[in-house]
Amino acid sequence: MLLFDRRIWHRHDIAVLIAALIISAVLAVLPSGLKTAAGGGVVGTLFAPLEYPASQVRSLFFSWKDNQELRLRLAVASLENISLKEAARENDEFRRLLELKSRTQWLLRSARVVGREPAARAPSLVVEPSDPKDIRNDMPAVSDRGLVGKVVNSGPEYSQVATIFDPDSRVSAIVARSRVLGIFRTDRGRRCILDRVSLRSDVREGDTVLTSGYGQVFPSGLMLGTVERIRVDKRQLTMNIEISPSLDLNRTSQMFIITGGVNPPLPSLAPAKAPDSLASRPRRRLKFPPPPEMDIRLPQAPVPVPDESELPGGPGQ
Amino acid sequence: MVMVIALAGLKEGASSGVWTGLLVGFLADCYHPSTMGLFAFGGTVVGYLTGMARDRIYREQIISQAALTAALALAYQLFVFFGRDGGALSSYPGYFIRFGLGGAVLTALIAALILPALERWAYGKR
Repeated sequence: MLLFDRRIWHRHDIAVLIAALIISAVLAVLPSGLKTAAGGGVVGTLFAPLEYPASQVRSLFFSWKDNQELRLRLAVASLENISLKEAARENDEFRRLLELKSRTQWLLRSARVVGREPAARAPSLVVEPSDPKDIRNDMPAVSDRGLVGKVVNSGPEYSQVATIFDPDSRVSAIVARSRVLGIFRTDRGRRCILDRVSLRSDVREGDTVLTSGYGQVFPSGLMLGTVERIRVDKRQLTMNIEISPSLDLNRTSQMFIITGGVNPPLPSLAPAKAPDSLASRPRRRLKFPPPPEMDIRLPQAPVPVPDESELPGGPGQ
Repeated sequence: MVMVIALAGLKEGASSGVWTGLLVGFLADCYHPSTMGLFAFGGTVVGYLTGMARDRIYREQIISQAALTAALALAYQLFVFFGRDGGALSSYPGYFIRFGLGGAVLTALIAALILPALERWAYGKR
């Protein structure tokens, strides 16, 4: 076959070029419908096996891009969610603080916690009072959950508050139900205990423990916690009372500092069913001085009673 | 596409380059049916130019092959710019500077990397 003789074609490159150009021109002048059908047919037949993996790779790429975008959106949404939750929690705390402020007759200055140790029972907090000039040392700090502590280092902008979890802190406390007195403190910063309560005292688990107001620093009636566990050791003279504190520093970001005002009375308490241990069992006999000798002399004669007419303003005047 | 045509033209001569250009151009046309025939025409011309240059360059050298591929890419871009995109002559210098030159250089670099392997695959060791 002359047409398929390679030597002829190699010798006649121009002829080949002209033939190819004619084919190109024929392709160019085809009707548009036929062009589309031919193109679609060729692509569908020849490139479909390649198109599928290519489309899969393309899909994978777009999925990766979508994944990146969705991750970014998720991160933003998570941050917004955290922010909203924090705002809701803060709002709730503010509402409870506002309720506390409206209930009391103290002069309160709000303070925001700006620093503390990460421990749940941090011994001290750094707060930013709303009006730092009014803040002095030893002023009590309270929250809606009760007593927080007292100011130990007041500064021009920030103040340091020693919490009730401070190992050196001692708060005069009273059991609300039975009026038993004790000292609220922490056991080297770990457990909260009610100390100096004698063995026969009427203290039960679940009793509420408040400040007694006897320490001259903290006002009375502030919540300290509830009795969690009582252990009695016969060899000791006092009870071992563990207190579950009402104060949760993880949930305390705002507080009030009491700068003055009237100390409200203790909340209405049920009458004590048992006598106070301090009164029932005095450990030492008190020696009172002997009463002074008194010279009492009774009158020897009856005292004369004046007549009515002799009195000023009597009858006849 | 240009590399395949260049390989065929360099190894076999002008007529093989022309037929390869026609076939590859037609396949490219199938993706753009509205300009059917244009890439076939461009591939034909590029294949013929390759065959013409075959005897005038050191075709065994990679640098020669890469330079030829770059020149063919520039020629092929003329068809794309004026034929498919309908570009005006006055705007071609801008197109050449922004896209044409860079595309040609990139094609040459890829050709320098791929052509030896493609040649070995298509024709075996010689």
